[in-house]
Amino acid sequence: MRIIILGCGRLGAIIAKRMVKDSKNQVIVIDKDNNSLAKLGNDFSGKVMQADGVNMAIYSQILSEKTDIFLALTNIDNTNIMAAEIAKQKYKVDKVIARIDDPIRAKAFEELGIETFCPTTLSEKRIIKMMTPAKTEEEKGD
Amino acid sequence: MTQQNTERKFVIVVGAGKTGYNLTKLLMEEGHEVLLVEKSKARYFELNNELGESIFLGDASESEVLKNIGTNRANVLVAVTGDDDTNLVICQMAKIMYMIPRTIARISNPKNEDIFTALGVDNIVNTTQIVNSLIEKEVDAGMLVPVMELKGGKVEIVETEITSNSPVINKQIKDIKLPDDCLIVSIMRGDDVIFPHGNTVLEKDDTVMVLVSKDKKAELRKIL
Repeated sequence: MRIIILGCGRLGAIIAKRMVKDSKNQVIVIDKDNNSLAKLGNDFSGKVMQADGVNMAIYSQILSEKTDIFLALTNIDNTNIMAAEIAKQKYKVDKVIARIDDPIRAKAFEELGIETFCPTTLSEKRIIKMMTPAKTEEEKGD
Repeated sequence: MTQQNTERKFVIVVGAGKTGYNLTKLLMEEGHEVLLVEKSKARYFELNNELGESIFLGDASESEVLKNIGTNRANVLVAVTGDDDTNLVICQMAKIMYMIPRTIARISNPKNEDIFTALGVDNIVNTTQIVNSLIEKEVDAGMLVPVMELKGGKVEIVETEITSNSPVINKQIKDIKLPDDCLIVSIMRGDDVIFPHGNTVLEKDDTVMVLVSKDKKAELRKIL
């Protein structure tokens, strides 16, 4: 699969490293900061690109080739949204996932057909769960 | 006279840079209700004395802020921050969450224009493009004068005068080797408008209107 990851913070880097383990995957990581890309290490077998995620020009370069998955994982909601929308609407990438920290914003764009996940909501659920003593069988599950 | 001509609108302006600030003042002078939203504290306090309740401190791309400023009753939202992505997202959120009838975004990167339109922003102010076309107009003066842009500027109607040293003078249109994507749509001769055919002859002082795609303008200029 051809996978493009925008944003090479902790999250982006960890997912990129995991995805390249499968030799069938072609992974491209984009970040505007070279230092962030360095997190991937010298042995990273995917491709890295230093570029700003809000600059349309890069997408015409990388998304014109058929792409299976586009992940927008920077820490800026608006950048992720715009990048995801470009990938989805203009380049018709099959699966587009965007990280959106603001829960309400995440919900709003989910309605527009972009798959979103919200670290805030996920953490919230997790923390609440950690604070509540385990009661039922299924909750013990994870 | 002016009081009764317009209905009073509630306009939200996002980004208190020079554009946002001056736009706010202009709209207020015209009697509209305006709220300028700025996320930088420093800039907010700079303008707070002058604008009072018409300026709000906050990040308009946060859904909470949009709610607090009463976006639901706004008629128009204008996003003129320096970031294209911020402007896009704010306009979209205003549309999705509050069904604002009209959203306007400024963009700096001309390449973003298509995607903004596709994503439902009603109007786009492409600052870079405007300055660029003004410069081109200046360069074109006396040669090809832009009359109208179509298809977001990809195709243009231009006007030019046939001067005495033009190579096409006294030639039939069918004998002129025009570039592809280029069509002479009309000729103004004195008070007459001529609908040209292949055997129409171009004369000195004719004003010719040509429909031409942007990338063929240079070729057209050489020929006329």
